Amino acid sequence: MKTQPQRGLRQTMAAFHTWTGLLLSWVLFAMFLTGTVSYFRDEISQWMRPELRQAAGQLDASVASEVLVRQLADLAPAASQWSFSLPDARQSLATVSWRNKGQSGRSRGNSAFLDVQTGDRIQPRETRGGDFFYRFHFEFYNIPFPWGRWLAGLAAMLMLVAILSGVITHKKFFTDFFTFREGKGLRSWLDAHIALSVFGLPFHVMITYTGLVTLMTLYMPWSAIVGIDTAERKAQYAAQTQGALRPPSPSGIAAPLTAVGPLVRQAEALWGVGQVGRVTVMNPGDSSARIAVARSGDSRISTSPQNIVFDGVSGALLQAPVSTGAAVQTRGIMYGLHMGRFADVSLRWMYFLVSLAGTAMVGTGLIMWTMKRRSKLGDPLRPNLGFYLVERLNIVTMAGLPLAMAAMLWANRLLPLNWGERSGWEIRAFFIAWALSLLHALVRPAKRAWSEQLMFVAGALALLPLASWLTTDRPLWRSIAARDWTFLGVEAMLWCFAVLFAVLAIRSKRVSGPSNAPRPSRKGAAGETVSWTRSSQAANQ
Amino acid sequence: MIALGFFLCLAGFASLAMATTRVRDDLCLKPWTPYQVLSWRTVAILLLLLSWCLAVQSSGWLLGTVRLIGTSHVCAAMVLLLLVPIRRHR
Repeated sequence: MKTQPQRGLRQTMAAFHTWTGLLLSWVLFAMFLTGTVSYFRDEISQWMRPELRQAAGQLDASVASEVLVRQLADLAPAASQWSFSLPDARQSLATVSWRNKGQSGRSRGNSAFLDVQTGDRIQPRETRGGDFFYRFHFEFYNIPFPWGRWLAGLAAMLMLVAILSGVITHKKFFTDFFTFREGKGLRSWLDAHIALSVFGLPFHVMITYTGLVTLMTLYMPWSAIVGIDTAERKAQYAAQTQGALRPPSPSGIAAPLTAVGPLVRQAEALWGVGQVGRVTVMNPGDSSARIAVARSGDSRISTSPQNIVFDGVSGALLQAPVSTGAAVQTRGIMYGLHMGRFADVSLRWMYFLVSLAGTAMVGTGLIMWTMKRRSKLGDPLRPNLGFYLVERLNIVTMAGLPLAMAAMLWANRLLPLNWGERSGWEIRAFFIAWALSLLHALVRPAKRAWSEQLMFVAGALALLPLASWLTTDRPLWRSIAARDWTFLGVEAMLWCFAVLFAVLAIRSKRVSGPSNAPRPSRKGAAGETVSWTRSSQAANQ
Repeated sequence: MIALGFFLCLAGFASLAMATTRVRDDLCLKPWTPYQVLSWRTVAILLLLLSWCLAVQSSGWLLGTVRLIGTSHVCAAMVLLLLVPIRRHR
């Protein structure tokens, strides 16, 4: 009886890496890409709201707070809670929101953008802005809670397994560290995949693991169910992890609100100038009023909330920042590392670039899967269902998703400003474009679908600044003249990505693949099929 | 300080690349002796350590280490990309 040779650890891990990597890699690609752009969520949101001007300068935080409280008193005099974030280096306008009496959670529409210099309320177009990509990154869209987050967690878990098994599989870790062999088919793709994985390895491990940590209580709620059982403990847990504030019951006795400015200055004396991020006023105008001043997350990695609570009438300090335990601090640091809110411009760009490398790592892995198996197909023009599905899903994910994202930006510029449900239609444009990409990928030969969709993405991205010029009063040259780095940066990046997609489209067109090639004859076996086989063999060596 | 740390990190990865056989072959250099390989690696480690020290000095232990890791990813990729045209014109 013939016994099968035993597979070593590396071979086993290679197979494990291949299949764990493939299983949800399209979901992972979408998570990585939308997560990558989310590092510039504020900037994308500003670009999508061109009506929001950059303020001429920044006011002192205490003065700005006074202005904002006065504005909120005019905007929502009967509200039970006012809240505002102070302008910072990335957002020169203040965002204010309020909660009406009897309302427990957030309500859309109860928010506004205010220019603290002038006190003017600015009404931008209705859009979800960069927040859509951010939410999509971990809960997708229209998937009922908590299933979207569970799917994201499953994908992240498989990613972690794929990373670890990939490290074990890669035997020439140091020898091949700086290796990229160009123009060698599958070997080049493998080199690119390894380079993208190895250079960013600490980041990829960190971002995947901390991604799981951000939703750990959803994935593993049992310890919290057992340990945080009383109402008091629950409140303490919410205060330490989310900064949840418990507003006191209103007394019904009217009392003037104390000046907020001195309280903000007190907080700045503790944390440093410019370190106040948010102010919340509970029960304004009531004798039970409370004012909570929250520390900004700009200069610290941990996202563990830090609040100082003052009496809203006398201004007396009621609660100093809660000291958090080691577990909460660890969670806060991991959460912070994932979100990157602490990052300055240079570090934010590093986050963006390495995260983009992670996206490309997933993409190159998917391309390699099809390349390796194409050479083994009996008839490359009639692939089996599995191969066909993977190939089409690759196109829909890697070319279709950027197309959908570009479509959303186009919808942002083209939809009439007074269109009902405008932000909803922007999202519909995203999904309609993605569905059209799927349709196109199904009806066109794979190679043509690749090049056509990639070229379409390149065109859509390249023309967006032009659309911006035609539909808004913020053309590129005006951004240059005004040194508006947000607008300039977003539009420059759109062009950079347009060039990248154009190069990919041209290269994918040049590659002679079996999809368009005439049916290979027995003799010639179409040089390409032979070269696929050779490169596969080279890569397997 | 940040810019200096970046260039030191870049130089560190360039030295690390020089210590590898494949890069040495790409640059058509004579085979390194074990002593030369050790020297390249030592220089690389010293440069990377210096870059880390600068990052820690400018941003503190935690943020500085995060900055160094981010910088090292970008620098390693830059060295790889710089080697591509060298290989092409070999």
